[in-house]
Amino acid sequence: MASYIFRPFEFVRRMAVEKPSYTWAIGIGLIGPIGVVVIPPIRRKYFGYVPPERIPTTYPIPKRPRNSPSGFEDPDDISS
Amino acid sequence: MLFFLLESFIILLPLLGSIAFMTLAERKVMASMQRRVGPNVVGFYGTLQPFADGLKLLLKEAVIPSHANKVIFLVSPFITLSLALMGWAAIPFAKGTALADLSLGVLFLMAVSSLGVYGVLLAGWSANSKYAFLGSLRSSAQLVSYELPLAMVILIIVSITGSLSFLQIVEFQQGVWLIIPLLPLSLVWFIIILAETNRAPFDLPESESELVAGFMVEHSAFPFAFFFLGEYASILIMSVLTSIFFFGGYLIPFGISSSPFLQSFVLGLKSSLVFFFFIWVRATLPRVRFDQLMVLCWCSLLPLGFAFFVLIICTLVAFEATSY
Repeated sequence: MASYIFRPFEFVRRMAVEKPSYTWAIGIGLIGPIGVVVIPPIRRKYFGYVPPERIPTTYPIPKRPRNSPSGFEDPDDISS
Repeated sequence: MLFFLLESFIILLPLLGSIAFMTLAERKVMASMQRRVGPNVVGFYGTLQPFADGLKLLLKEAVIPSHANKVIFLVSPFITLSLALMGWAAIPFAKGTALADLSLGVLFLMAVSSLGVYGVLLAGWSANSKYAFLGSLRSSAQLVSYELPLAMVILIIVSITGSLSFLQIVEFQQGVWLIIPLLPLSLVWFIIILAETNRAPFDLPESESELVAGFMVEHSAFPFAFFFLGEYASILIMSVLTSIFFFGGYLIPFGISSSPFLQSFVLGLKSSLVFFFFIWVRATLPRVRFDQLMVLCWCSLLPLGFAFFVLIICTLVAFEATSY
């Protein structure tokens, strides 16, 4: 029977002796993704962290009818 | 053009001089560790010994085996040396003092150091000798394998600093040297640079009890001297890279500002300490077997490198600490 399902703690202990580099690599590597999920809520809730305002990537469009530009037309007689 | 040549010579001549004295330092330190005197006849306490050795190699006859491919046999040491010296173009000796302050300097150095394996491979093949060929195969396998964890460690440092420029990596360490947050990774790095420079306990390509002298067994006189210089130039560049990546490069501790001369002196001092570590390991540890070397790379250092990479990237994301 697969010991890693029914007795996971014993399995990890055995693997830490038989294949230490793999066990430690998986352990260290797993801390990262878990941290990504766990750390930001803890920072917000217990350490008062406020995420910075997002940097604007677009220019806000004014909420009014667009002014049509006039007075810049070319003169009729360009040669003069 | 003339100015550029002059700049190159300003870097190359002291570099070759320092390689000469590195050999003397190695022999003296190892002698001290083994309760011997070491070279002490030529010059004052043996200080001129490297020049005597160099002169001997230049004056000796260069023997070329009759069945060797002569052109490649003679070109390969030159390839090794020139590639080992090329990497120095991107190294900042002080703030704003580099031959070429490349924004992709780290990438350039990795590319150049990866090409170094061709010199080894060509030398072993062209000599038409079984010892040399076996030595070159071993060396190539070793160099190619250890490139991966080396690149992984460099990738982690680049992720943290957010730059591929050596200057910006050094300036990033104004507050704290990267050896403090990355201590476990620096231990991995020390092992990798020993293997990457074919140094003891990973000097299997040279292993004199099995392969005589590895891929360069048929090279004598000045081709051998070129290999020798190339090898030590690689060791020196790895020492400087260690100083830049983990010990703040030319920065003086506690944020003390200084002149460019003092900064380059500090970089030299840090690199010398790293080189002392190379000698210390050589005098202490016995050589590992080739299978142990490969298992160490693929089954220990590479998984650990990947694990640290994932951990550090995730930490940067979790704390929103990316500098880019």
